[in-house]
Amino acid sequence: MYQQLFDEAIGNTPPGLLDVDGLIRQQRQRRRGIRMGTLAGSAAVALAAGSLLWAAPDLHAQPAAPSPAAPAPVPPAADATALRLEAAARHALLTAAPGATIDPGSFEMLPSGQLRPGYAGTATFSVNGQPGRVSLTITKGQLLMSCGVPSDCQPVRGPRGETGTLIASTRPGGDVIGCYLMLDRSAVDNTTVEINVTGVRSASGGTSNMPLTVDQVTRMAEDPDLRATA
Amino acid sequence: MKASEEADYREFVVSRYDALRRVAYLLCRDWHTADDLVSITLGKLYRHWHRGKDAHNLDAYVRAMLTRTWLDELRRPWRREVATESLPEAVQPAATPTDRVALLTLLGRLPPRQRAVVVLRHYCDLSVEETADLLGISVGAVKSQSARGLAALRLPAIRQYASQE
Repeated sequence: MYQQLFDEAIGNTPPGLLDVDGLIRQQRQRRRGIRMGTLAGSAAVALAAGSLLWAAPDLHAQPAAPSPAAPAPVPPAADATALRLEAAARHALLTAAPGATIDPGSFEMLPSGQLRPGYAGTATFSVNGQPGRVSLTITKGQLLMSCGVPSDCQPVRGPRGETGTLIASTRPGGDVIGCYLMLDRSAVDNTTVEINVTGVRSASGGTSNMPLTVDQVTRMAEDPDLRATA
Repeated sequence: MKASEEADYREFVVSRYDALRRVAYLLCRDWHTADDLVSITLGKLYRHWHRGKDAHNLDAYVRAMLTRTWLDELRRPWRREVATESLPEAVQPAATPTDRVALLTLLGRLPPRQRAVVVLRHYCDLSVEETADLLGISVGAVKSQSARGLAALRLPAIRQYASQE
């Protein structure tokens, strides 16, 4: 009964990059890895048991002097691309909206899923006291967007020849409460930038209007530092 | 997995991918998260394909996986949602793009389990019993959560307006 309403509510569906073969390959590798891990574990247990048996005569001997401290585990190297994109995202937002305040912990860029090779991060921020949330995805290459409701989609053209589609959500009064922009920069730097900005109503009340203008969102997406490759 | 089973899996994934993404989006209201949820779910489905294809209803089995994956993800600290007591500003029912956003906003304000009940019952069209079984809650809980969820969404009002169009 309500299916149609929900489908209308969902509206345009951004492109999904389904790579079934890649998914299957990944799962096969995972399965192989688990098998190898099980084998390696069994071998390690067998070796440990063997060495205990071999060392059994010495079990009653004086305990050996403690060995020097084992080397501390080396922390994994930080993902340089993620760090670069985190800095670039902050810079892009602050350049587009110079008065913006970005909350701590924002824009932590993480690999954005198995089917969509890229990085994604979110941030909460405020401009002139109006809080908002931005979700940013940087994908290598080109994404194609199908516009389910063409009247909702506005074409965007950047100064370097970027092309994009913008969908803004407005209230009856005309206030913009959110927007989604996909900017195809593949011809410029082999990158597609997606930005989703929504307003958030603060705890003290107020509105949930989008704290950025559509122009500011577009400028943010055009920032040349937001590129998939260094 | 045998080649024939992989072919079945591939066919299932390709045919249901968009529908699963839409269900995931209704649950989490973010396309990136929805893609991640679907991706994780399809990975799990590959690993449990034997169990899945023997299930009475494979679609329901996969939706159950998807919903549980979402609920699990919500428990992770970085995905935790903030519950709010109040609903957003009053929205006048009207068949405009704004209403679509309003409906999604209202849906997003529902507590996760209530949202899952509403999506499974009224978008995926599952029965009360199927929804209860899938979420591991009682039939009564599904009924009450569903009624509260619909009331919060003000769906009847929107529906009434849409039928006048």
